[in-house]
Amino acid sequence: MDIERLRADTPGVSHRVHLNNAGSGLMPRTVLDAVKDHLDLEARIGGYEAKAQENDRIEAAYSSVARLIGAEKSEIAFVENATVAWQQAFFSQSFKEGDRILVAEVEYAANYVACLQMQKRTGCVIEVIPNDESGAIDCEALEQMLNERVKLIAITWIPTNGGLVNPATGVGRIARAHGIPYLLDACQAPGQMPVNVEELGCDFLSATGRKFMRGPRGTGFLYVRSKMLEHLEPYMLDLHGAVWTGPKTYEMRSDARRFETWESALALHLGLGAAADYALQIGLEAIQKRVLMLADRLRVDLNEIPGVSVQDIGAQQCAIVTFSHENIEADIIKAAMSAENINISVSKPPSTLLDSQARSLPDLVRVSPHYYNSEDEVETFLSALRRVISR
Amino acid sequence: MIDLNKARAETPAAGNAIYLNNASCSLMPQPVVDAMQDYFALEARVGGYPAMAQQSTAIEAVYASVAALINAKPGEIALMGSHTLAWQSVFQGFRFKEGDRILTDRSEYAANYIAMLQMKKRTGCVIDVIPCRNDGATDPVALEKMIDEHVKLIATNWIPTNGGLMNPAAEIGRVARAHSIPYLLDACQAVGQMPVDVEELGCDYLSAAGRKWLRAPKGTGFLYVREERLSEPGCEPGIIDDIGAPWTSADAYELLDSARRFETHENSPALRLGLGTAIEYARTLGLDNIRTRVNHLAEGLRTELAGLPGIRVQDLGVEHAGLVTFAHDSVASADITAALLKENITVKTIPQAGALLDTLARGIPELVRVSAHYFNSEDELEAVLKALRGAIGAG
Repeated sequence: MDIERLRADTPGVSHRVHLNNAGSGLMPRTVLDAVKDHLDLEARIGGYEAKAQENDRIEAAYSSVARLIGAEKSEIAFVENATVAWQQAFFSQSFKEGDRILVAEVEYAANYVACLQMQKRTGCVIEVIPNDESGAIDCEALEQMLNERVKLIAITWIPTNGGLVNPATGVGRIARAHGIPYLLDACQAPGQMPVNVEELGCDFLSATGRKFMRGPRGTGFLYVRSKMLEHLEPYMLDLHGAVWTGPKTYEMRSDARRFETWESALALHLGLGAAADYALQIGLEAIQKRVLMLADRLRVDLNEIPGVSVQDIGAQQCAIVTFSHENIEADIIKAAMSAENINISVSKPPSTLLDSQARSLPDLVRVSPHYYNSEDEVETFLSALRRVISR
Repeated sequence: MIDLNKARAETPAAGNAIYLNNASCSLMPQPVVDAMQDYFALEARVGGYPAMAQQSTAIEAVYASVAALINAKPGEIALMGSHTLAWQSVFQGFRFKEGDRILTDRSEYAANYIAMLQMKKRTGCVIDVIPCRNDGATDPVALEKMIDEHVKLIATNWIPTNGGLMNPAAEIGRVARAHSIPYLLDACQAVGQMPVDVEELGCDYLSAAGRKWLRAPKGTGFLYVREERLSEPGCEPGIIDDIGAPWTSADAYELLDSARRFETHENSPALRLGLGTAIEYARTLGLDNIRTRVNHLAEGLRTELAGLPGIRVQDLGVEHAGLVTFAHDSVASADITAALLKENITVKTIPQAGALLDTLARGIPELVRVSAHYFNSEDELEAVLKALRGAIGAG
């Protein structure tokens, strides 16, 4: 991997040490250009005219995202954000009183409040799959929970608050063996590691563009397995996903775009496609290798700083590193880093409430390097942190 | 008065072609494009979240701009990714039961009506269409007579996709308020071409898109929710996440007090700034001025069209908006649109399914829709009429 060239493609690296790729990655120039060029084109010739002119590239963006996760193009829907993607899939399931939804302990707040809303609406039950001793989902425990009332398994693959990678593939094998719909929140995965929906065995996968994919903000996508498309109606359906065929009838599109609604920012879609192409070009295996190397190094060095506790659980880990300090609050550390032009973030307990309560977690400092970060940048951060702590 | 030369000079697309499809998606003025490009450049330089922190005042001001545009309070505004998301996040939040009635109008837009049909299938609720007056507009008197305890929502459109009709939105609002029935108004075609005042309208919810008459970017929309509705128990969006409903304990969430409970994580601040810039651009010109000019251009066009052989103007209602629709006795609308496009003139063919109930009731074919904005010139309309005469062989 030619780090210098990749850094040269990234305008942001000359201004900031950006270690918040789990929040929002720095867009490479190719993504920026795709967005900017289309906005200019729209201003020059009109929105729908620009759409017609760039139709092939807009279609290609779907193919690129499909390739990134090992899906068919017809199984991809582009939506406004990860919440819309996840909820379009989640609320398209019908639940009755007593139906069970199984989730992970590290479930993200966005998903969990929707589960609570569904519980209030229908009387369904939300149950948390136990963890193994490493802190990851225990697949055997999951298997034992199953009965005919389990109507959905909806888990977060990589939580927002740490380096854990849940055994999404193991969960998928169980879900398929029992024929239970499986919705995987993969927000933090695409762009930092290989993702393959066939291997994962998920029926739905939701993600955002702005994180490790380095796409623009305001983009998200949903994968819907083709066999789900035989019968499933999206929660929100409009004239984009269906045609109004008679006073009392409508007919849905045959592909996953029935989960899209009218209408959207195509400049952002093109940016998302460019981001997928860029990641594919570099290679997801190589990316994963490098981010793991940087993250592991961070964990090792952080552990040696007095008062710092690394908080990442799980046997398998990723590019997200979280820690706390025994007497300096996470927000203070974040502000101190920001003053030195170092971008990091803070994970607050309400964003993963069940896990935070189970582990009695305080606010956590989250550091999330990407492949374009240099070893020097990691060192810059660690030095700045040591200075703050020794003050 | 609108300075036409200035408006055209600030519209990069003006002069490249004759653009008369503003009811679908208008042309962004340069300041709107600049606001977005500048923000993307900032994001690329410092990262997404630091950029948002730096520009937080400007991003926050977008709510005030929307509020000022429609005479609402900033706390009554949610910024959304599209009109559909705005409308549906309200609509899907209602817990309809079997036999509950939703009242809508004959000119209802396909996007909304498909969602109603789906809701009917899911819950057994009933969709009832409010009859029209003789002029084709929704009849508030007939509406009043339909009201009973089963009516749970009035969901209508102000200006339909398929013509210059303006439904009596404020009169519908008076009926809705008198009976305390929630009133969701689709104002997609109104905002940006005329003054909009939610107090006058009496709506509880108003949904709109940015890309049409407001000249904002695609991928923007907004939702207004009346303060009194927000404080009612059960005013819950159809989609919530931890942005609008923070997770407060293992089995509870709390909805935000403001209309932002209808927003979800996350969004493009660049597009939001584009929307805010577009609104301020329109407010600087003055919505009254815009309305006067749009109406002047549309009425002139209708008069000219009515004089062409074989052409029938299809706009219903007494009072008209800037959408002009017509059909020809023997030349298909799609052929007319294609012929105009060859002359670099963009108009739109409205499919019958865009407002199917209305199409069927009136027995109309596909229509040609011409929607001129204030930046369109009289010369451009002359050129359209000339090209049209050629297309229908009335040269």
